[in-house]
Amino acid sequence: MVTIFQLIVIYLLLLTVSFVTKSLQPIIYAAIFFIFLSYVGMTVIVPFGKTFMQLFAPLPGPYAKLLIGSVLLFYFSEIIVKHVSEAGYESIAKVAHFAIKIVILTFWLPQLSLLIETLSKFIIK
Amino acid sequence: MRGGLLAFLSGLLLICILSSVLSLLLPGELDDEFLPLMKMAIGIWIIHSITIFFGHSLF
Amino acid sequence: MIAMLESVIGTVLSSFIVVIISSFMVLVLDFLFPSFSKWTRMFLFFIVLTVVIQPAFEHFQMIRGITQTIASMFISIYPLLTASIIASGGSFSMLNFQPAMLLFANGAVILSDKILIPLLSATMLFDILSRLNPSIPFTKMAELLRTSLISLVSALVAAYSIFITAGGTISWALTGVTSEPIKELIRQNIPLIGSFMTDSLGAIGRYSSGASVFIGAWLIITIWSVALLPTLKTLLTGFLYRWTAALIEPFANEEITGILDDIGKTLFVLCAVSFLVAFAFIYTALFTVILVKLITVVR
Repeated sequence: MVTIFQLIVIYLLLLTVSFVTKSLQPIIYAAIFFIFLSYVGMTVIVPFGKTFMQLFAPLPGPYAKLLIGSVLLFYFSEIIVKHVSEAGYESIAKVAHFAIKIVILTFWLPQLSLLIETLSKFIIK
Repeated sequence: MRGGLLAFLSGLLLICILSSVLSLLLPGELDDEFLPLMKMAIGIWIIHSITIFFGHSLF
Repeated sequence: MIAMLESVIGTVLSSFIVVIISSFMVLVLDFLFPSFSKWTRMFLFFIVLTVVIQPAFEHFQMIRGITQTIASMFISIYPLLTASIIASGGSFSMLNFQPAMLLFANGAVILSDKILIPLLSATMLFDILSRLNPSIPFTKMAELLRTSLISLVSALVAAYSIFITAGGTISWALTGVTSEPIKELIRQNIPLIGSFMTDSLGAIGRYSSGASVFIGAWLIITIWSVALLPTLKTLLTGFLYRWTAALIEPFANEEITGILDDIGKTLFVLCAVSFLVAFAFIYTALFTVILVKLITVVR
């Protein structure tokens, strides 16, 4: 509820800015976007992720933590990429997104290497 | 053995619920892009449990 | 038994593990490059094909080799057997020996050598082709070949059982309480060839329990293991294929699990064929042994 109200306020603010200074609009838009993103992330998304992790705490191993963490990272990265590509710098955004994907995979890498190690033991035998 | 099976099945259930909820939260085509990671989680869990089940007799 | 299990698992396990590892690799690649997924799918398909086809094909060649040896054995023994039946007359009547049965077994072996195994290879090829390019499917053809092979084999078995019951004064020692639940279990768990397996096992058991009066049980067991071991290996390999397909279905590509499943099905049909061959082999071996015994006893 509060979030929708904030969204309306921000929308009105952006409209006013575009009415007052046309040239300054992109930078103000970007600034407001990042402020809003960090605010929503702090108040809604991260607490939700934490409760979600507690909900799936009986799951043995780090799977719940890994899945939720990578989903959050992936989503943030995608949103920022969308914002940057809206500004017209699509290829830079793509490269950054790819790097984020590799970072996500490095979280999974210990699990994966453990698995492949166990499996390759069977082959050698 | 029975406890192991129970843990395996409940882990499978939890991972499936988790991944379906996460795919509900993700919008549109992001869902498809994230699907391999969920599949990987399920796959690692399955193979891990199987090696725990049968590992002692195969090694 | 355990050693056989280990050897069967050892031949196929490494290739299945390669399949599992490569499907994980494909998941990683899919996540990193979603636009490249068609290419990765193709690469995965070729990796799996090169790895998985080999054990199945070894089974084909094994069964083919066995049928060839048995066919040559039949052809060398058959005149001798018929001649000695005519010579000895009454002494064989207690076994209800039927020359038509032997001829029939001979025909079955030649049939499986000349027709069944090439057809099975064709079935496997059709399966692979239709999985490789789903827009040019051959699935109906493959299914038709498989079902017609199965019906051919089951018709042969029906003929066998007619022969057996027409002259079947020797009853199987295992009938009754102990064997019926096992037969039912097998029949329900392997729907395609289960009833065939139980029927032919019953027939083999009937014959060999009658013959074990004449020859020692160890010889029967040897003949059984020589004839039935390849069949059991094939059956087990087919099960491993299907089991792996079921195991990796959640995270692997649909084509991969489909092709593993198809190979498993084809191996089941091959198993039915090799049961037929094993039956013929047991029949010949038993009668050769009995013949030799009778000749030595008469002298």
